[in-house]
Amino acid sequence: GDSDNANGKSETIKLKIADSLPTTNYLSSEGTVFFMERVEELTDGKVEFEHYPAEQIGKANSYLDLTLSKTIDIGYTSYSTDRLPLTEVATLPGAYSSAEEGSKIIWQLMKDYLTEEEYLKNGVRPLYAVALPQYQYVTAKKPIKSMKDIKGTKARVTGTMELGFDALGASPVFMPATEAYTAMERGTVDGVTFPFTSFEAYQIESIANYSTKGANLGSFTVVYSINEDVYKSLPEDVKEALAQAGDETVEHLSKFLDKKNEELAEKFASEIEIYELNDEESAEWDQALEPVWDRWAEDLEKRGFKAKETVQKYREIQESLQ
Amino acid sequence: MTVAIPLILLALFLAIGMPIAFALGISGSIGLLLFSGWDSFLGILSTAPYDSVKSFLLSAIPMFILMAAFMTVSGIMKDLFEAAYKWLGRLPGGLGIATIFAGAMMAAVSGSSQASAAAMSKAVAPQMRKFKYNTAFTMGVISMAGTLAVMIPPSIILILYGILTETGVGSLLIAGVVPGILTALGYIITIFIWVKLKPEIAPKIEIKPTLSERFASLKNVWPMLVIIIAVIGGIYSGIVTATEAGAMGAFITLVVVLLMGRMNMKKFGVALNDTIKSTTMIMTIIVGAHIFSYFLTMTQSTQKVVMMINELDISRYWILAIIILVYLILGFFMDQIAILILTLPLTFPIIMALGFNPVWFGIIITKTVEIGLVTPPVGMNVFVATGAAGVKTSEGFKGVTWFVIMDLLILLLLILLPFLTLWLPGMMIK
Amino acid sequence: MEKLEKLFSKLENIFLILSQVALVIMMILTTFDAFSRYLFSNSIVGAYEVTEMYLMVALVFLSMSYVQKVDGHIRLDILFERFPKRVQAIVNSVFYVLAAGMMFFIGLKGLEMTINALQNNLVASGLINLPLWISYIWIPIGAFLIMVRLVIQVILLLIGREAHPVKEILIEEDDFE
Ligand code: NA
Ligand code: NA
Repeated sequence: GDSDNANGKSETIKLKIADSLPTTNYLSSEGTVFFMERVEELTDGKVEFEHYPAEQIGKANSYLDLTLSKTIDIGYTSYSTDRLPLTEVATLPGAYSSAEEGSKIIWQLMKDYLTEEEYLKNGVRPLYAVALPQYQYVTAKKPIKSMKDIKGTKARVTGTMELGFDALGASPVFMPATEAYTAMERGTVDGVTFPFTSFEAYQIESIANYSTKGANLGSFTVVYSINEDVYKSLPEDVKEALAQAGDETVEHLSKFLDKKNEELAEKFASEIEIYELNDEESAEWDQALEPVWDRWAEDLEKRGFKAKETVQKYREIQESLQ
Repeated sequence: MTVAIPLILLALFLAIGMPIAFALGISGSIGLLLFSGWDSFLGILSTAPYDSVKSFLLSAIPMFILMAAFMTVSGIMKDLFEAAYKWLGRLPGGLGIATIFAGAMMAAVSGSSQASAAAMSKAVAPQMRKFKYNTAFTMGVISMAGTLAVMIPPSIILILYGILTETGVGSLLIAGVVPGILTALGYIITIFIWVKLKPEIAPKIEIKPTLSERFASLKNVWPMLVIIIAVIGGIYSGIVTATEAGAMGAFITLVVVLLMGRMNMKKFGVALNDTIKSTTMIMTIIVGAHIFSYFLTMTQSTQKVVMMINELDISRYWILAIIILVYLILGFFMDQIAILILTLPLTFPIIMALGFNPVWFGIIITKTVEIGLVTPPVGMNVFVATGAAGVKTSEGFKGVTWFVIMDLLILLLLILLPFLTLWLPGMMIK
Repeated sequence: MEKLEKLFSKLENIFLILSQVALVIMMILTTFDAFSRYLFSNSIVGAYEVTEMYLMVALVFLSMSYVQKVDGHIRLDILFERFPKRVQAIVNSVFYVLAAGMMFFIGLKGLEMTINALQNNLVASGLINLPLWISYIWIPIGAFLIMVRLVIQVILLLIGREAHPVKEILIEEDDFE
């Protein structure tokens, strides 16, 4: 914040918020923009945002550093898993079944535990966290109907899904999202992992022929964090507005994504053969992916992070919400 | 006012000959210090250099340059051009035309203008020098041939446009084919006219080779054909992505020239060193360009200009014309990727509201920012081509003038006749 | 001064060789990753990240200083080449002082990032965990190298010597015949 608002309510507080999302992405239009508008409304215009979307001042993994250096006040810290790895717990396969459920859990976990344990130690405070709908395996030539079909395929993956696909006997492949389309078209990879809500951003629906539905292959968590010094300098009513807007954004965006996910699955069904797992199959896949949790946790424990405690707390919150 | 100081500094630094990478980085840094303060300056200086370089996509640059360097040190590029000279040497600007063909071929495997221009320059410039072609003409042809890489698929810029605007990447890539071929034809016509007017820039072949001499020259062309077919085949069969193609191309070239006995440790070392020099020169400029464009973003000046356009109450063609003009002007100073990232979130909604076609606009904007690659003061393709050939940058800018005029004509044609762009993707929709 | 320059050039050359090694590994790794993926449906674990995090960063930063030595960071020379030698020297000194200043801050921030990654054991996690300090460390090494190179060149210019005694040498395949 450029202006310390110590003397008088008439002064506006300018907050710089930055992310790597194109403005057409739902996560931006229904998340970031929704959040900014709610804060502006709740503070009667006392807070104004300057929004730098679409990697305008840094690549995806630089927003934690840009927030820490106060180049910006609020940043999209999802990609800083080197320093904020515990947040990844919600991205593990089978962590939840709907975005609404996953978001409720991870946001509660942030409030109860991760804010202290992970974020404040790194000088930032999370403002909201939203878990995306579960990723599905989308393929061009080969329909995926069982775990057996996954074996031996090449899948473009991100994040912890590398562990999941390795556990299922597939070959996880890394490539820029920009190349996913062409890679699938030419068979460089057999498929990609995406939630339905991200298809359009990469035109996956026009190149894919098959997709799973109801598989919990893992996911991604959207987190926006504010520099803690900046946060401390804000007046109480603004802090309250940020908290309320954060809660509302978690609810709004996660519900929106679930609804959109269903709509899009229906829409794509005309072009893509969608194989929907029944509850039994879904549970079977979850079980096969269970070892990924231990592998993830043990790896982090070795590096001195309290991953086991995080998993335990995650499960506790999940139970309490049911 | 604070926005103007770094812009003026940049122009001044560039004009009096500060290395381009430093000029961009230093004026951007000063801008950050003046405009956003010490914290932002240190923040950007810690993230921008690392993030600009840590990029798998950009690994295509060293790999394609390395491929070209292997071709050059082993002499197989020389063989190719000698054959081209025997066949095309009597045409006006024959080697220039051969270069445009090679550029189109290169475009089918490379998605990046800079990688293509650098590779072409490494390989072609020594040949054209040998046949006494005028330096400015040579540099002009190579800088322009490099720009074909972005129109003819694969294309980093078109994919980026597709992602930033959620326009179908498949349609965009196919849409680039016809404008790409048109552009290549336009360049060939420019060469013809230019050489007709000034024959001394491209000396004609003195003797007339017999048909058997011409065919004899072809037997040395096979290594190049093998490499080209392998790389294009590798891309279109999905063995490699457009980014990986350069690495595979370099590797195959190395294997071919080793088998031919045309490689030794000395040549290998020279190829490596030369690749590093060109790559690091380009990447350092990219670091500087990022620092400068982050400064520009923080002043929100680009955004403000686009907002102003949005509020104008005039015909949609006037607005389109103004937007294209703004892109041409931005192209003078900025890197094309930075321009798209910075402005598309603002211009694209305007264009959609005016009812223009998103695929067509993508091609128009790509063509426009490509022109910026060869215009001074910041013309990446000219820097890369002249840097890789060890020639003065001024020669490069001298050499592109007529081609830029041709490019503007092609741009006008593409704007006036949208079916040129939209016909092919229209036929290929799934 | 010349002696110091010679000594520094030796150091610079060691890093140039590392940069060459990075280039060759990049070619081989990327090619074999593609082949392995195509032939055996098996991507080489970590190939993508190693290219991006280690090889690209090392390749570029470790050779920046050498490129400066041979005057390989290109410039617009329309006006510059018309300046008298003396003016060129003065102008270059100013450029290089400013550039050394910028490189100092880039190096300093890079050093902070490296130390932070080392102390906190930061990794890019995946099937194999890649330590981040090995990715960052090329920035301070490279930035400080070119900073020293720039300072040496300024001193050489001030005492009336050539700043770029070795200019870029270009390949002409005739060199090998
Ligand atoms: Na291309
Ligand atoms: Na330009």
